[in-house]
Amino acid sequence: MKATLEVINKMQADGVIGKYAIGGAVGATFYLEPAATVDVDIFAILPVAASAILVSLAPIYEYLRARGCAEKEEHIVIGGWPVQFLPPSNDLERDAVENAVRTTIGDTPAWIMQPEYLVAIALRTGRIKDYTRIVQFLERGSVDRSRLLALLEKHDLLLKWGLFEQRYLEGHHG
Amino acid sequence: MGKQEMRKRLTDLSFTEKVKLVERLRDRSLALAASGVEMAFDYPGDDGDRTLAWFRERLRSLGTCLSTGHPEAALALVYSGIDVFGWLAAAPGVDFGTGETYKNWCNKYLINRIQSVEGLVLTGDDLWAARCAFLHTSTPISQLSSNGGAHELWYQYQSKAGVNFLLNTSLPPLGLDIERLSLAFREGGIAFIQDLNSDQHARAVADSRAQHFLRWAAPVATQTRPNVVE
Repeated sequence: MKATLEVINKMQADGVIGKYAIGGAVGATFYLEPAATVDVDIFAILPVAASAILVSLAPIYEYLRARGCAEKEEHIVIGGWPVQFLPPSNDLERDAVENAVRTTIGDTPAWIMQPEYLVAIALRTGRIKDYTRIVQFLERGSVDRSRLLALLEKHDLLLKWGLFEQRYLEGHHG
Repeated sequence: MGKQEMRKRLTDLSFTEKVKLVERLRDRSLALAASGVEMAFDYPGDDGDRTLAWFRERLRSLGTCLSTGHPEAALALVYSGIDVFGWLAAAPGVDFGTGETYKNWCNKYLINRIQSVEGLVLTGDDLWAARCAFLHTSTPISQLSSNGGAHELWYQYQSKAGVNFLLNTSLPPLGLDIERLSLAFREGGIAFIQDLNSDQHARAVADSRAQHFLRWAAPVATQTRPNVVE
C-alpha cells in the first residue's frame, strides 16, 4: 500500500486531485484492529472549474493509465491495490476530507478520515458491514461520543442513529 | 492470550504494521480465489414454509430437551419461541420483538392454555417477567417481579422443582410445570399458524419476517473453475 499512496500523493502534487482522505475499511484500520479488505476507498476532492456541472473521474483515469495502471470494474489498480476514487457526494464526505488527519505508512504520508466521520459515513451507507464497523468503533472507545452526536445532528443523521442504537445497541429487558 | 487482549494489541499496532497485516489478509483471500475453490452452502430446503419449518424444528428440539432431562434448555426454547411468534404476529411496521409483542402473543395464544401449578391464571406480565428473568440471569427474579408488577414463577419438571431459596417478593410466587408449558406452547403455536393460514395479510407479514430466520446449511468446497492464474 506504500507504493499505492506514493502514486496518490504524486497525483495530488501534480494537481490531478485535491485534498484526499482514506475511508472505508482501510481508514477504519487506522483506529481498529486490521480487517480483511480487497480495495482502498479514496475520497478525493477534484479540481473542477466553477462552471462545471458534472464531476468527471476521467483525468484521474487518464493520468493513471499513462502510468501503467489497469482498470478493474469500478477500481483502478495502483501498486497492487484496487483503488476506488470517490468524489465527495455530500457535505458530510466533504467535511470528512477537509478534516482528515495526517499519518504515515512507513515514511509515506497519508490522510485518514477522523473516526467520527468514518462512523457517520458508515451510518449513512447503512450496509450490514458498515453497522458492524460502527459497533467495533464504539466497543473500542475510538470515537468521541459528543463530537459524533454533533456531527450526526449537523448532517441530519440523528434519526438514523436512533434506529441504529435501538437495533444494535439496546437489549430488551423486562 | 484472550480474544479481547488480542484485539487490543492489534488495535494498538502502528498503522504501518496494520497495513502489512491487511495486505497479508488480502493476499490470502486472493490466493483462495485464484485456486478455483469456492465455498458454497448445501441447504436441503425448508420443511414446509419458513414459519412452519422453524416451528417444527423448535418442537423437535423441545422434545429432545424434555426427554433427555434438560428442563432449563426446554424453558429457554419456549420463552425465546414466544419471542419469535410475538414478532411474527406483530403489526406491519413493528421491526423488532418487544415486551409488548411477547405479551400480546401470550395473551392471545398461551394464557388460556396454561395455569399455574396452584390452578391460578397467569398473565402476560407474569410470563414476560419470568422470560426476562430466566433468559437474562437463569433465575426467577426480574425487575417486574421485584417491584410487584408480576408474580415470580418457580418451575417444576417431573419430580423436581426449581425454586428460589431467597424469596423477597411482594406477590406470592406461582409454580409452572415446564412440560405443561411446552404443551401449551405447541398448541398455541398451532393455533397461531392456523390463524395465519386464514389471514392472508398477516400471513404475508409473518412470511416476510420469517425469511430472515437462520438457515442451517453445510459449507462445502466446490471446484468452480479451472486452476488457472490469469
